[in-house]
Amino acid sequence: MSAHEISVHVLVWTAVAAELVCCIGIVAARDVFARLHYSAAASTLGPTLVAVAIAVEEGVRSIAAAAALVVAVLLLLGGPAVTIATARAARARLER
Amino acid sequence: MNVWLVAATVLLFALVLPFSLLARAPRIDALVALELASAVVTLVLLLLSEGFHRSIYTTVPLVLAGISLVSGLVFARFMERRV
Repeated sequence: MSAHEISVHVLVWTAVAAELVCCIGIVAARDVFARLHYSAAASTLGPTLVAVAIAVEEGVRSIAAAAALVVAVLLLLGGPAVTIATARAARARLER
Repeated sequence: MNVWLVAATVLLFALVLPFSLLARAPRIDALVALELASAVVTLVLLLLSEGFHRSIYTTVPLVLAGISLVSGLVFARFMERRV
């Protein structure tokens, strides 16, 4: 196995492990605010690592790497926004 | 079978957890599970597009990432006031 393949494997399996922790955590968490931590984390670490893995695999200048990077940036910027909006909705429902 | 397809398969099985929450939790918790599930599905589609070596397939997770962002905001807004 070359260094190139090892780095791709490490990046991909780290991303999968991060997503698995979030999937298990969201079920184990007690209330909605604790669950929001896991859904926010799911849209940050995993996609970024997979985008880097695709860039390593295909080369930084390839179309696949560019598209994967855009997906990761969309999730990276959109995740916190959705998390804040959901937290506001949850608090508003508690105050009703 | 390459590392991308195996990783996508593992994540597909992991989706059972947020979907179980979607089925039984209160509405706001189900929304959080939906947001997590859409992030994981976006990742699965990204892995599959790389696993099949078709960069044109990357368009699908790209569109899903945008749509899941908008749907999360709309659902949150809707649940804040009306439901």
